[in-house]
Amino acid sequence: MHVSAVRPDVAIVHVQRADEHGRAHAWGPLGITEEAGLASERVIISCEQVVDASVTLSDPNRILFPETKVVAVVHEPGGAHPSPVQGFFKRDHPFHRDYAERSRSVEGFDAWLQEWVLGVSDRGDYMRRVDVEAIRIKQARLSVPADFGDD
Amino acid sequence: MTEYSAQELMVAIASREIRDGDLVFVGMRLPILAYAVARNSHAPAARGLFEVGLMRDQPASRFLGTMGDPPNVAGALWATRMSNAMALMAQGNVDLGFIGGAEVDRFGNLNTSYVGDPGRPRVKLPGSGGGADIAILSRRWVTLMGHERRRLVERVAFVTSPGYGDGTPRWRQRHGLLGGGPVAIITTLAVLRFPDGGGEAYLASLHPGHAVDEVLENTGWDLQVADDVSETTPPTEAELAAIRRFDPDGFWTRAS
Repeated sequence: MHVSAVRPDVAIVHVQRADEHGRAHAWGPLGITEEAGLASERVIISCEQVVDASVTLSDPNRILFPETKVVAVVHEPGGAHPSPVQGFFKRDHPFHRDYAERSRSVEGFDAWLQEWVLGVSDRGDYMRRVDVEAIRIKQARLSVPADFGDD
Repeated sequence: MTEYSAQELMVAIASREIRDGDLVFVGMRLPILAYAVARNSHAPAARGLFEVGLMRDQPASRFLGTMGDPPNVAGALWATRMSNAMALMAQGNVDLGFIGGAEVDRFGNLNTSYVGDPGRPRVKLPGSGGGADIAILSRRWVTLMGHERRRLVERVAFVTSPGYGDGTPRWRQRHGLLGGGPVAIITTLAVLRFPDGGGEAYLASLHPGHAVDEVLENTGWDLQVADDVSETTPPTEAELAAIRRFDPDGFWTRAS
């Protein structure tokens, strides 16, 4: 018995930072992020910060995907909401609980869908409804840079 | 004696299954708390492995809504991809795993896939997640469940995560399953255990305030009762204090 490989057309991956060439840096537990992107024909990166290529290339070990796979980079802070992004946003616990409670009934789910999906005009509208300050991570916890010296 | 909820008792029992030095595959909800309690009491050298791709020693310092929550990442021993965490388990490095389930049967097989006929299911459940991997690969595993007749069944409709199969001797070995199998089913009423080498679950201990008849009535098979069935040790003050420190609002242990 075997399971066929999944070959998605496109993976959409939200990361902490990426450059305009699609080189994405992500940190924290990666789950199936790498497999999802690498198995896909194309990758769309959404990111908290667009950074200069000198930032991403300073640490090539942290680049998730070959730039040849990445077809778009979208600057979309909070794009993982209600999930967390290490160093940027906490998990929005009340949002998750609200969904869990309201989705117990069809009527509750419909009302939630109207409030958070169907009745939302665009991304900006969505983020204005989120209590962003309540979930923003404010205290830095920086890693030590790696030395890639070669001479 | 401090009052406690059934979930708090289940967490305390689960924490006692963790031995010092164990590498524990920590599942969501109650096992996260059980790991934190064990680390703070009898198992200070235990390590936790989370399928999202994390290894920790110290429990997270703040409430976790899920295993990838930022407080679980800060101070981690290892942040990696899921396949690496699973590969460690495939190498036999995980001593104890926790698995949740919708249905369990007398031989410890778990169903988290379908309610009703798998061909025409009444409800489609989430599926394995990491459950089947843990059931097959961890050295021993434990499941936690509400004790209801519809959940503790004679035979599960679908084996998502194998226990001891059809209960015949060496079923796991004959099917090439590497890990040792389930050692306990921790429920809201009792603890069921399995004989050494596996086989059929039996009633090992009753939670305070519950009777053997009540357990038998709420179990979907003719449950064997140990000759020396004991009363489950209630949560100690220290265990309760640890549980309430890591679940301050009772989200996992007192809300339902």
